[in-house]
Amino acid sequence: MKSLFKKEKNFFFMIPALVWQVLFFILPLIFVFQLAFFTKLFQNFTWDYIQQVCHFSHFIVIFRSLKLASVTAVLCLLIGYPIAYFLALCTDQRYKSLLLFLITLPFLTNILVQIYAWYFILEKKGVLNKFLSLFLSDTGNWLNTSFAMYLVMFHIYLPFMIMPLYTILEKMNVRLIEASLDLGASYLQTFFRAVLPLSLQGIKTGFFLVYVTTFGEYVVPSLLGGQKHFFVGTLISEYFFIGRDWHVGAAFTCLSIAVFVVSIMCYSEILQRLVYRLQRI
Amino acid sequence: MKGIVLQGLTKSYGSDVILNNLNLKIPGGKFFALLGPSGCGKTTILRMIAGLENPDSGSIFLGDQDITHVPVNKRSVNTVFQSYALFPHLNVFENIAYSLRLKALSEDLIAQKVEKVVRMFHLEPLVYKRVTQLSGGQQQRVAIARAVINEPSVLLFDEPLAALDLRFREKVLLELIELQDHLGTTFVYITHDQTEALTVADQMAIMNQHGKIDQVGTPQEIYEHPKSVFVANFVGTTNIIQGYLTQQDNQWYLDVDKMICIAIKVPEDFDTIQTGDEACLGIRPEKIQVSKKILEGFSNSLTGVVQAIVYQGRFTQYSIRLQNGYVLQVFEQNEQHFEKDKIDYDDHVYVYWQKENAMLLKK
Repeated sequence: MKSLFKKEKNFFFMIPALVWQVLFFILPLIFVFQLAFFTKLFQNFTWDYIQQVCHFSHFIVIFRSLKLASVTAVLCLLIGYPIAYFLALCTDQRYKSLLLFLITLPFLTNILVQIYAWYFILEKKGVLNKFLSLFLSDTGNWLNTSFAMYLVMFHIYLPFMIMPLYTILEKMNVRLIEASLDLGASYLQTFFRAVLPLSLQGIKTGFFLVYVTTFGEYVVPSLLGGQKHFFVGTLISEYFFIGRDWHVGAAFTCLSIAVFVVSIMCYSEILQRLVYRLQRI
Repeated sequence: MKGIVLQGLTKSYGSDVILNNLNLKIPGGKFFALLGPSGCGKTTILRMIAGLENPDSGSIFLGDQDITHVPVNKRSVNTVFQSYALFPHLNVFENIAYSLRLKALSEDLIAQKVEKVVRMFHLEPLVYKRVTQLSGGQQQRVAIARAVINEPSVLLFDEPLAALDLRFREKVLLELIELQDHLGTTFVYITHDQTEALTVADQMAIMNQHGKIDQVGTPQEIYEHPKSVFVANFVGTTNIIQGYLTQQDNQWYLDVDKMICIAIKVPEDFDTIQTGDEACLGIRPEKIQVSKKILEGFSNSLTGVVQAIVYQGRFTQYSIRLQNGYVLQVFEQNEQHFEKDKIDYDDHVYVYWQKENAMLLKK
């Protein structure tokens, strides 16, 4: 702690961030825990609410959200990495800022507007089907499918993946890539043995940025994935706003947070091991 | 050991011509230094030999093999980068073993080879440290170890001392010379520092600002017999005196501003010269004797006034203004075998040198 606050001045500049964190993160979180474990304000500790939500149907909802977040994060990583690599290492300096701007452009658009834009593409007489009818006689219905859901999730969250990856690849010392080639590595070997492990921090940051934000996502699944399934976000809002059962809602929130944190630790380990395993290529 | 031949190398970036029809022969098994001011294109040459850059035209030969179009990872050439370029995600062992791992050698063989190199570079206590924990000198040893473990035909050094502190450099230079003796590999050493080049090189080439090679030779040849004003100025300190050539009784003289007449020796391989040609004469400051007395036996003697005296420890530097206003630099060893005249500011002195020690230079 002493080193963290070595200068009082530094501490002074941290105050706005600290206040923000405490007011809008720590306090609400404590409030949620309080709701989940106490029948009155910090009185009468009970496991009842937790027991109520520890039910198979609730775990299904949590795992559905984990799946949504995982698929989106993996898709974004697999497709975002080549884009970030191309932007950071293969693009002329003149076009970089323009391309980066284009990638961040979706941020400037409201998420609902983006989703309705996708409606026009995916609906039965939409752009996609019109295009496909040029080649196929029978075109499918895209709306309310998991394909539409993942596609739009991927599109909305891709910039979250590209940004941290781009930052770390851009900073990468090109001499390291040259040194690898100089020592006899092929381009593929150089990628797996030098570039990928050196960008591990960016991979993790991007992956969790997408993973964490998509875990609570319920707008896209409810608008494009059909109303058939509950997700963590939908279920929590259901408890709080429709069921008005704040205690059970808070208990479910705590449960999903616990599962979620464990899943994050697993992914962190998996990503690390995967990158080190790939070095043997 | 294989030498390198560069033939008609040309390279330009956009409208910037870096190298224009450059030819150079680097002898095999020697310590070769390429000396030039920053931005002269010497690093480009190094990167072309390594294969990190392609020439627009021209060829590169390694031994008898044309390697111009051999990709970087297939060349038996390794580079020690100026910034060392060690992989920060790997420890010292894995950095050194990097090229062996690519060949999928057995674990035992890798350990054996790495151990040998580690012992050679005295890296034993550092083997399992992260490279980010090492000092600059240690990082450099790891970088060299990583480059030599593959037993390349040619080892390239890109200003390897630039990141080291001054006191350490001399030691590293001597170690490099020893290493080259030991391995017998062709070393190509790029630097802008003349003392480094003079210290390490068996052979050296001097590049001028325009990407042209002015002179190739041993350090002694380059220092004692520079062929151009640029080389004389760049390697060591030189007094450059301009004037016009005249001839009398089979002896050439340099007429400076019609005030001073200097006897000169024209080297046998020098271009044909004529009376009235403009020429430059280079005289090393340490080849000049300064005295208040009249001395016999010198082919040149001039008079001047002492303008500045700088005591440099092992030598004293005098600035002496000649009759025509030219300020001549003179180094005098402070050997103090005998008592000398005390020379002071504004004293009138004689300066002497032998014509054999002054160099007629191409402009």
